[in-house]
Amino acid sequence: MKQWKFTDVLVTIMVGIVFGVIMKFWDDFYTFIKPILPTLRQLFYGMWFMVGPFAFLLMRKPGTALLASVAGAGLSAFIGHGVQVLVYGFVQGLAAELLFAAFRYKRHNILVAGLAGVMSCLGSFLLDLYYGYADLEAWALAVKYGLRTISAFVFTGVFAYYIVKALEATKVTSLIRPVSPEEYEKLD
Amino acid sequence: MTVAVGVEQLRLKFPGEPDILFQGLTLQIPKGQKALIVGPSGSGKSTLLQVLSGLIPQAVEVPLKYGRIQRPASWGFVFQDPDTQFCMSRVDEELAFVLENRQVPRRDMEPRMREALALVGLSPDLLNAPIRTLSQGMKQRLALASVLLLEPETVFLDEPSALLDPEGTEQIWTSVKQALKDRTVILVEHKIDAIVDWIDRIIMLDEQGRLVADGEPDAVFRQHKASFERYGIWYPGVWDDYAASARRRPVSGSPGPSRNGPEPSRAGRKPSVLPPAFLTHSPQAAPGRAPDSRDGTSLGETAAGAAPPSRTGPDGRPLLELEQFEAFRGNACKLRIDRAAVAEGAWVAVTGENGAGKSTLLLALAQLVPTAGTYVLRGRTIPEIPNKRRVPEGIALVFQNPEMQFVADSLFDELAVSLASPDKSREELADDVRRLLGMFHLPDDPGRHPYHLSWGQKRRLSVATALASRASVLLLDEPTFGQDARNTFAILECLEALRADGKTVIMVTHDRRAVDHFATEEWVLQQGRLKEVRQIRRT
Repeated sequence: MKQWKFTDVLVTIMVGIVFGVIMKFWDDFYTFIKPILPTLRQLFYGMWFMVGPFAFLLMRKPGTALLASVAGAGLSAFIGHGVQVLVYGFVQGLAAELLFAAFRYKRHNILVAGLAGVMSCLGSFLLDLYYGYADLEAWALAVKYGLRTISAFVFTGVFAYYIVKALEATKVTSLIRPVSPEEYEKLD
Repeated sequence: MTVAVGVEQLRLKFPGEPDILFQGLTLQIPKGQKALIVGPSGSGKSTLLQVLSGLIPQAVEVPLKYGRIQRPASWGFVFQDPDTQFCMSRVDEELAFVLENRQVPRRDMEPRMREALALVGLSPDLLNAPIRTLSQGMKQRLALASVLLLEPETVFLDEPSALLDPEGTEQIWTSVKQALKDRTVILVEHKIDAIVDWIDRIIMLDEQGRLVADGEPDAVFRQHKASFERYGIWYPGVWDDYAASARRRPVSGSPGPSRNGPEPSRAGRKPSVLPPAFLTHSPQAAPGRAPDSRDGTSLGETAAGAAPPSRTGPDGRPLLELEQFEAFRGNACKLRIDRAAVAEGAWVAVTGENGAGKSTLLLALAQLVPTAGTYVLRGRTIPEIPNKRRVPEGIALVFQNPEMQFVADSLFDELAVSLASPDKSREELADDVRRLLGMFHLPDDPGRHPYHLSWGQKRRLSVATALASRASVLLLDEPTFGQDARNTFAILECLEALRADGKTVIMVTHDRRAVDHFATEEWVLQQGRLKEVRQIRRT
């Protein structure tokens, strides 16, 4: 963490907070469609995995995925969803973080981001088992978490990637990404 | 002499930008000195402050190298924007935040807070006030007060008056002079006439951040006056110089920028010839009017001293009439005008205190807020159907914050929104876009994202989009606010050229001199009423 600057912390937490708010609304939406699409609604679940990978795609620094995910979950917990949400945020964020670490934090494409989402999804599955939300027959589990995995990839891979691309066009990202050593060499 | 702040052989480069800034700058500032750094936009003045204070690289990572650097033992920083410097919602909370970080015991806090407020000229009664209720000038003073609580040896100020109106500007400089008497002060500013008498030293940088001048104010000013003008700095007397040069400008001037010889100070270049596509139909010519612009005369020429074109439309009525006109924000009536009219080709300056209803007037004319009463534009009554209000045809509104009205992701698209028409081919459209970009001195890079422009360029882009919409009435909300001298003159001249071409300009402004030099009439608003309409005879 020694490369982290003050702005890094701020931006990461801001991303977490923004997503925390979005997730609040998403939660209402998710609850609303439960009677209509009880199983298919897993396709919308991916939103909750988006924070960490989005933060990493934006800032490309180690630790952002985890911190943003925890910050977002922290906001949700604070608004009233309780500590459990924080646990999910931590585990999901950690899963994404570990995946990015496996690629040495050097890959920033749709595939890697999507995989990070899938890892978060796996994390959520394990937690669901632990907390008793996955008390279903094997085939039902396969459907539910299969859909969730697809959703995870779409949200954290495709959506997050393209939103960050749009931000890059406005050049706001140039000041928050790590600076490569070549940039320093140009000063000699 | 003890050095408070200094750097040797500084080089810096923003990632992704091609140019190296500073290129080996060496600078030392002794303790107790009041130094003013000036230079054109983009010269890295703010960046230099951030390097000297340590914000770069401690808070923001930007590649830089230097031989040696000495940063102040203790320092504080006041930024430009009064609205983004606070993290708490109340005055006392904000000040307490600083003291908490310095581990000041609680019982000592209040006396220190009162002392800081007194030093900047704010009343101690404000301690419980929410920060958002303060005026912009007061907010900047509060920012200064909270910096003072750090007991800094050196204080950095980055254009503290840039976003303040004349009253706020006066407030902040008074506070600075009073509170920072004994400290080292390093200051970046564009509007220097209020502070230049207090300054010991002026440091001038060029576009690359290289040192161009360094010394006592009088000496620097005398030797480098041309640079002051070229860099658009608001030095004392800049308006007088401008007025003098405008009078001297030849009637049959050359189109486009004049690069030949030492033509003085003309801050900004004349707008180049407007292609016929952008001209409106010329109104009935009044005696003394310059020849029809359509045959390729430069617009800049008709500016100074030409008789204003026909004051009324073809049927003799004024362009715009208001009667018993009311404008509402929410459910409250914020503006009431009994009777007013605007002639075609007029330049109306709308002035008044903050909250007097100036912006509301513009929004009302563009029908962006609910209105009641009679509003006649070009002989047609603007209807008051509540849910079907539309911006009347021929009106374009330019907001104070240009970013608020960008709708596209590239310069091309931004202008094409208004320029495109079914009978225009792609090449013609591209040509028109490029011409418009050139006219407003915007980069010839149609793919660039509008947010990736400097503030001055964004402002010009927003005016360009208004022009592209072929509107005949331009409503502008403080178009020159926060701009350096050069951009200010460029925008005002462009508006004048448009006005000479028959367009009508209605501009909200605080700038007295802009009113006197460019407007044809002034509407003074006070507390939502039109207090006075003053005709102006322009020199």
